[in-house]
Amino acid sequence: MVNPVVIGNGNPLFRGMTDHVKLKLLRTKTFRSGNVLHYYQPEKTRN
Amino acid sequence: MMVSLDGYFEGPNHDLSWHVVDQEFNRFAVEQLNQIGTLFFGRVTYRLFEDYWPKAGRDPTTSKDDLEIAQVIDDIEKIVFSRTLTTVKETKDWKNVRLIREAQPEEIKRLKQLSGKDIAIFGSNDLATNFLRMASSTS
Repeated sequence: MVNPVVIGNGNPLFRGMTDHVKLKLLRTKTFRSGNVLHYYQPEKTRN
Repeated sequence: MMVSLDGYFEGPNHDLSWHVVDQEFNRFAVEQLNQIGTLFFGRVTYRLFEDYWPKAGRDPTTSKDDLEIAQVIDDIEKIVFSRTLTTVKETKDWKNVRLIREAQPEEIKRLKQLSGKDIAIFGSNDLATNFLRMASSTS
């Protein structure tokens, strides 16, 4: 859920991820506060 | 998982005070929790929850929304994934917790089949990263 706020510093989401992962956006839900929830599904990578 | 517009899940010193939480969010949280059979946590988020929710559930000044969330979180099955913790403690207002020391894909699949309901990870950035890595590499 993306919060409508910039904090400038901290730890990034999925810190430590080294590979690229493609995600499929399934749907979103927008809140009156400006929060936007994203529903994602990881796409399978073939190794 | 909450994330700031500039991509952070926590500010310096685990700061989460920037989370935008209102009544609409709390209602959504309760609805979502009611559809979940099992909650997964990493150590850091688990400790935050363990410190906050049982206390909030006992505190007469806690809002109605939070009391409801405290109750649902107490009732729901909670699994903590940690190699650091050796035990997880249950108390009369903090039940249904267990510890798994190593996240194996087969074990997760089995839990998913057993539960029948959704499994959710709350917060737990490092655990979610591990699971995302697993999900993207298993077919």
